[in-house]
Amino acid sequence: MQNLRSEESIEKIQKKWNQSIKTKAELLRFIKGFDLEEYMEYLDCEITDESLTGETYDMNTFIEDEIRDRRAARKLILTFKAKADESRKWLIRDAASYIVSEVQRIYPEYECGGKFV
Amino acid sequence: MNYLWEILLEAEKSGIDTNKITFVHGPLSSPYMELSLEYLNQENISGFNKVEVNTYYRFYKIFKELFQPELTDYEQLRSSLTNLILHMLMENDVRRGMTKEAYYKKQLAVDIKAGCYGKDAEERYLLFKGEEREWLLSGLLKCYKSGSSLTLFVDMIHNMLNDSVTYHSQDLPDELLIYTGQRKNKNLEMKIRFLTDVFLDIRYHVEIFYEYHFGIIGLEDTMIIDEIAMY
Repeated sequence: MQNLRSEESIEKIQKKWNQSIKTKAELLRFIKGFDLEEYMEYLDCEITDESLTGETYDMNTFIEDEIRDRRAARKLILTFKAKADESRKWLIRDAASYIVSEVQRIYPEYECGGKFV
Repeated sequence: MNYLWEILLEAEKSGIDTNKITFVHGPLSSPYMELSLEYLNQENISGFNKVEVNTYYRFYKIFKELFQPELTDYEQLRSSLTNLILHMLMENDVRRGMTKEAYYKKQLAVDIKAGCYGKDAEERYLLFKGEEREWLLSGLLKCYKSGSSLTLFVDMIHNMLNDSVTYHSQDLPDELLIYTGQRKNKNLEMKIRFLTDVFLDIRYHVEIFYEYHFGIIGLEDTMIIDEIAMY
């Protein structure tokens, strides 16, 4: 498992101006860019008000958001479909948590969580 | 058409594969034009696989040795070489006028076609043709330059559907209503879906009304019985 990002042209264009783009397609591209598809497939995202405990954990516990009140934030749930083989199965949850934690950094206004189907 | 590059632009416009076009050295071509097509004012090239070119018009230095009158050997080689060189020169011609923006747009197109926005988006992208694709990519580049915004999304929707009206709900700040006079069909639905995925922030919810407008009290045109959409 690596934390390298793929080097597509769009990625370079995005980094050049580094603007916040919070669209569905861009989120998908961001997740795809981690190249962790051998572990799981990203299906969709959903915004809810319900309190839903995700199946992932926060990897960036040391980064504190001092501006926003987390309890009031809406939830952004990312849905994944696990597809790793036997030898990699034990890492799926961690890989998903890594992705969710990275997404959390660009979406501070939401509380992000992951879910498997 | 006068110059070589116009062939490529025309081919791209009408969806002709440039590999199917063969260029030949025209021995009796006009000295005032680079292309010697059948008609002087010809505007399109559909149906013409062979295009005669006055190779001495701009590229005398390259071709002067190839077509001397006393030269009769290697005819096949010379003609395919001419074809090859002219294809390359044509593409160089077009690139010469390329701006940085066009270059970025080309790269975006390549990546979308490679599926970086997912398979669905890739298929939906292919529904956009010609001009539409051009403004779509310009919009996308603008999006990367200045961030995604509601204004940009509304602009894109208006570009595609010029009879559309976009409403932003007062009660629910995350709800958008789009009305278009066009009939609902799968292509249109997919295209709008692509635009919402690519240009609209994830917090918005979009409701689309085809053909019939929802009623607005006080606006007589929208309050005709049997022509009101439910909302």
